[in-house]
Amino acid sequence: MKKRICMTGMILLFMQPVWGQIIFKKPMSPRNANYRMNVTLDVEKKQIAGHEILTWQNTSRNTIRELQFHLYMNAFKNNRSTFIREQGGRAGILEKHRAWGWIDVTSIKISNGPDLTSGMEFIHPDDGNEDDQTAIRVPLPKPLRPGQEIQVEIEFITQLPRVYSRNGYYNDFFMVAQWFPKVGVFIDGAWNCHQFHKNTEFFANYGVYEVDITLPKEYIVGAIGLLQKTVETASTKTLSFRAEDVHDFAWTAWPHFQVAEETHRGVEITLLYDRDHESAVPRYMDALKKTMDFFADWIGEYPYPNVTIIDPPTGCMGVGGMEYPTFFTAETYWNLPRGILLPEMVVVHEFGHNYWYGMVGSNEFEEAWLDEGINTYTEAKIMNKYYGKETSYVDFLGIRFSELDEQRYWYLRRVRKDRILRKAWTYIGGGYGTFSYAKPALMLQTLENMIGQKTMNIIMRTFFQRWKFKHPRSQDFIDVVNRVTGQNYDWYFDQVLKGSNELDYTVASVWTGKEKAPKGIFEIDREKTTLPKLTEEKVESAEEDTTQKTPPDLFRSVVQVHRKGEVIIPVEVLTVFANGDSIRKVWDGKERWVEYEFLKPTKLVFATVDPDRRLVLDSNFSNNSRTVEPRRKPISYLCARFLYWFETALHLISFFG
Amino acid sequence: MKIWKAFSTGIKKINHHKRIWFLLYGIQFVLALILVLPLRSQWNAMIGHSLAGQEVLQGFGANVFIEFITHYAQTVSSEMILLFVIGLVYLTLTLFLNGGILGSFSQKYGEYSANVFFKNCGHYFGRFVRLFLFSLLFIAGAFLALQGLETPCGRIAKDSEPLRVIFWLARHLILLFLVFFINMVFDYAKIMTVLEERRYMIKTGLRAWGFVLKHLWKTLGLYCLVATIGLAFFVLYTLAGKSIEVSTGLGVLLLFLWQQLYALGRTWVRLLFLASQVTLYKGTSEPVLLGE
Repeated sequence: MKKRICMTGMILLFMQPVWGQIIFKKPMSPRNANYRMNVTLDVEKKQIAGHEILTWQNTSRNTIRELQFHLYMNAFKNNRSTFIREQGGRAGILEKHRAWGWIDVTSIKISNGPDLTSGMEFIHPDDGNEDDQTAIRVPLPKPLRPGQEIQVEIEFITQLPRVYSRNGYYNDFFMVAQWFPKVGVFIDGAWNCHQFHKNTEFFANYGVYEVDITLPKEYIVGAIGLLQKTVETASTKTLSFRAEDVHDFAWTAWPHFQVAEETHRGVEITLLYDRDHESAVPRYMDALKKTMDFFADWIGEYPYPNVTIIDPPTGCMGVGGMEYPTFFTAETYWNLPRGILLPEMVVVHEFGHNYWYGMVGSNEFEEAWLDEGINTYTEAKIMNKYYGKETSYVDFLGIRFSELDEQRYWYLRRVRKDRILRKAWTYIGGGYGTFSYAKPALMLQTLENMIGQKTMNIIMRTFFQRWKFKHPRSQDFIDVVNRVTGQNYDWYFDQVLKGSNELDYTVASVWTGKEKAPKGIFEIDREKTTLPKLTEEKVESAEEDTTQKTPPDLFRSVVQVHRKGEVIIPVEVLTVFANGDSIRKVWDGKERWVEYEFLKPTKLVFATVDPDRRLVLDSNFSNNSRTVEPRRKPISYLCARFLYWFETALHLISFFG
Repeated sequence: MKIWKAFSTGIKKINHHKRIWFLLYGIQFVLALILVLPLRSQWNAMIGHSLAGQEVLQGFGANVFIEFITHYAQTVSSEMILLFVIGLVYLTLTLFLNGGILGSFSQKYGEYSANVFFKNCGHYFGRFVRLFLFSLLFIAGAFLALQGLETPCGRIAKDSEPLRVIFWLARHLILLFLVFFINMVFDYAKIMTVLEERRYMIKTGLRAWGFVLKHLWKTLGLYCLVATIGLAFFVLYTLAGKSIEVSTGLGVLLLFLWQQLYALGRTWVRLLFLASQVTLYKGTSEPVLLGE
């Protein structure tokens, strides 16, 4: 393990002359949105002055008459932006410290061509909010035909907000994200350039980013891509970064960053961290290496030469836990106990986004599940594998929570309230986390449990390989599932991806009782026979012949399984008998209920539907089983525990009396 | 009066008044039982015939708790309200019973009898309520004073996470200490009320402050000594409790008995505070005319 921790490490690295280094000999993506930016950070004003040259190619079959851009930073301009309105008009610290963020495009023109500034206008395609300034359209003087390229030069000033929702400044720390005029995506014959919402992330074309950042000399900088060169003056330095086959550019600067570096699988890992979080360094590194190993074995090797982790300093948690290509922010607290796996979980999740969002460039505005949901499913697999299935979230002071528990908690709070497939800003209040993270992860885990891990692995690998550096939609994922399995799983996705119905199977009743001896008239050997047979002398008195040898006792057992929810998925039903026998049956779930009857020389003990808990989307596991005899031990145990806790609460109260 | 003497006499007093000890424990047990019963019926409905209950016995049983708080959200919120109501009832009962307890420990009216005990309960109830309200002012003051420290602490520690954590811990520990200190002072106020038949509670509260501050090391020393016994009980309970295996019915029964034994033990400690403080006060204070 090569590990070096020193404040000047990054500076030494920056000094290496790696002028104009091409990262990939063969482009991995279409590279139709390429940026060349020259920016200066004013650390006093917390402002960035930038010059941007965008080279954009029309890869569609349509003739284009205008360009559309995101001006994300204007989400923090005032309390009437769509972003702030969607959180009830409360701007929190922005308002308290009057530390608003904004971006001004001071000029926009075609390179060596006409000025387009006067034609620029704000657009509000999502909600018609005239006060929102997070998207603009710029009419072109000449239509841009398919395959044609255009180069646009933009002058802009970005005022950073105080640390707020992924970016901003705090004292001398800067996290610079969503900060430059960024072209929208022309797809399916139209511009896809949404406003910035509280619950949406991003969508962009791939390209090459060449960014020169000028700032005071003492700052340590981390950014997307590779550092190409550093030029220093007496008080400033200019760092040149180059990133290829990515769709965003973010960077951070702080004079007090500590630096830890390692190499794993040929990838340079750089961790910029706060001195207070020294104890988390090995945890971050270990989690990242495990995640890289997992992905490499699972769907494909991480193709970029480096990855940078940013551990935000004290007071900057607002920027923690955010993904960018080859670069992400983590999260921890001072001496966080090892049993609370927050740093590990954040690293696993955010690095995973290099695949699900970074390379598979889905539309986070419109189908957030494709990145967050798939990534949460992946995160659970990794955390379960390396940190224990029962303890993959918390294992502290006797409290044990797994990733599955966490996802189910969020899911159960809003089972029927919305559906997964919906534009992210239109989810029911508080539903973004449930329907773009938790439910999709459970949906994929349920699918895996139905078709088997091996097949699921092929699906994920195929989806990744087929759609990396492209923009897949939900149907593309479904198509991969159908193709790999050779079966049509539309019925599944129609119910759980596109629908809001609930899945809940329950064993409604179980009954077992001794089979009564046959009584009455039966056709035996074509003769009417009255059973039980009577002895001759007792015929008159109709007393039974007790001397006859009786067959062994038989027990009739009846199990009734109900489908309480609307979602129909074939399910197994297991019945277990007193002698240890068990019977498994598969129910298609199409009717509302099914009844199974067994005649066996032994009593039924319990029945359980979905005994292996494959259907993790089931909203109630507790009702999945039913025992013939009551189970009193757990109840007694819970009563004893709670009785003691309540006595403790009362005892504390008594001190004040 | 020596601390140790007050402590050992306090123990003797409790041994002499075992019925009070069991009465207090019994009330606490019954009220806690009232709180558990609604939960019990819901747990019965939820896992009374389910294999899911096994998860609770085998481990933390996170899924059972998650499903309980989501599917039985109404029960959980009702339980919170019930806890608040029962808490108030218990507080009132404690204020009521303290008159009888202190009367018995001070043996003001001779030997213990139920009649005298409850007569004392009623006799001092109103005064103790006033004392309680007066003590709340001090608790609120302590709370506000520490709240006031939050801003300067925050300013000092704004860029240092370790400092933030240390300040946070320190603030809460100080608050805890102050609350217990105020509690000790007002224990003496109650003792003064009973022993000296005081009627003016603000004056008595202030005199109790005077007494405690005048005999700070003795009063605090005794309080810490008794608190150490309580802490030792807790450590013993926790360590031994961990080894109880609850997968069998006998294990669950053992756990229940162990918990109740501990609950009985800490009730004894609560009484020991009062009994030893009565002894200390009687042996330390100057005689005061009854009825002020």
